[in-house]
Amino acid sequence: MSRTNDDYAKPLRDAEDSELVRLARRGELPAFDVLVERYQRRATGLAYRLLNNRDDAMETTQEAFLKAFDKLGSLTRPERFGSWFLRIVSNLSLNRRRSRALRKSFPIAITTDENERAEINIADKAADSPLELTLAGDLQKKIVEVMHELPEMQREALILFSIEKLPQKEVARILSCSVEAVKWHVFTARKKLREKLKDYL
Amino acid sequence: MSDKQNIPDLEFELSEYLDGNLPAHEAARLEKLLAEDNELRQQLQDYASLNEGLSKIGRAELEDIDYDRQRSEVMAAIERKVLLEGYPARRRQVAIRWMAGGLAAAAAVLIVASLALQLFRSEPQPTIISSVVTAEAGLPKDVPSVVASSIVKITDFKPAITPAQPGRAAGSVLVSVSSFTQSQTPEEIPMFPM
Repeated sequence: MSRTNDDYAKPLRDAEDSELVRLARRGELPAFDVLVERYQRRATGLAYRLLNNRDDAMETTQEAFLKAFDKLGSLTRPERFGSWFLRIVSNLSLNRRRSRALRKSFPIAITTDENERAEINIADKAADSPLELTLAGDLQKKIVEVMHELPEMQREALILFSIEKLPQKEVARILSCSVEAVKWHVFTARKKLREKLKDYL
Repeated sequence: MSDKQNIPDLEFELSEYLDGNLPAHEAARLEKLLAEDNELRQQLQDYASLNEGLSKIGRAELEDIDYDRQRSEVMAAIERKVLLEGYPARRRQVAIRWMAGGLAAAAAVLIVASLALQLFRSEPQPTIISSVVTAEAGLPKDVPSVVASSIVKITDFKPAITPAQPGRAAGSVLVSVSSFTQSQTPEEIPMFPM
């Protein structure tokens, strides 16, 4: 009796990350497919919270998986695929965010028929991002607003720990810092949020 | 001094308490303080509300995503990449092979160059090692004598760092060579030191 794809997929789904990485390195795409399934939600969530835009988050996630597949050979500790991959997601998100900020800082000049020049500041449009529009309450709306004013490390630590619920040790690996530093970044971020959101709490 | 003042950064401890990072005895001390202090209780309540608000951010937006489709798109992009560029691991193997080949070639050139340099710096005039082999194998009859007379054979090679002597620089390499003509057999070659 021949085995179906599902027969092969089941043991792969139960396999450890390190085993899947080993198989994917040998060119077994179904193994990488399991890794994609395992990490896509977390990666999209992280990118979304860092970028505050769903389309950007989806594109960044896809880009991160392609990059991870390409660099799989350079992963020295395959058992740490998760934190290695989320670091790629985080770096790509921050790069995209920076380049977006750069584009926003240069207003586009449009020449009309009457040779009048009108300036469109893209930054104004960001205020209507889907995340903000779909938030249930004022508190969450304000949290997003204030969160995006935080320094990068504090924002990332807060997102990874308080929203994505990753263990501090894992967050430390992703951010390449100590667990103590993670605790401090999370605390400082929360403290700033609390100060700025006093009226909403 | 009150217990509250004994804790230098109470707010940090509250944050740690909320995350379940405080050791049991410190948590018990903080709980005692919380029971007595309304302001501190309010602070803890604020942090708890903040955490709750944070955990809800983007939840609805992310639930709407078709993750199966996203996964198919990712894998399709990877398959295209593999078709066009091959597997990354194999690309790396090819690169390593090229690099190893290049290194081997460079090493061979260096060895030949250093040998040639050493031989050309010696007196009498240079030795063509490959010609020795030709000579030992027996030169064809029609080789002109001027070629045959330039053939020398290395009979002794003593690489050693030597002190400076008249006519010889410090660190020179001692090489004994023999020269012979076409009419001589290798056994008849006279020996002389360089």
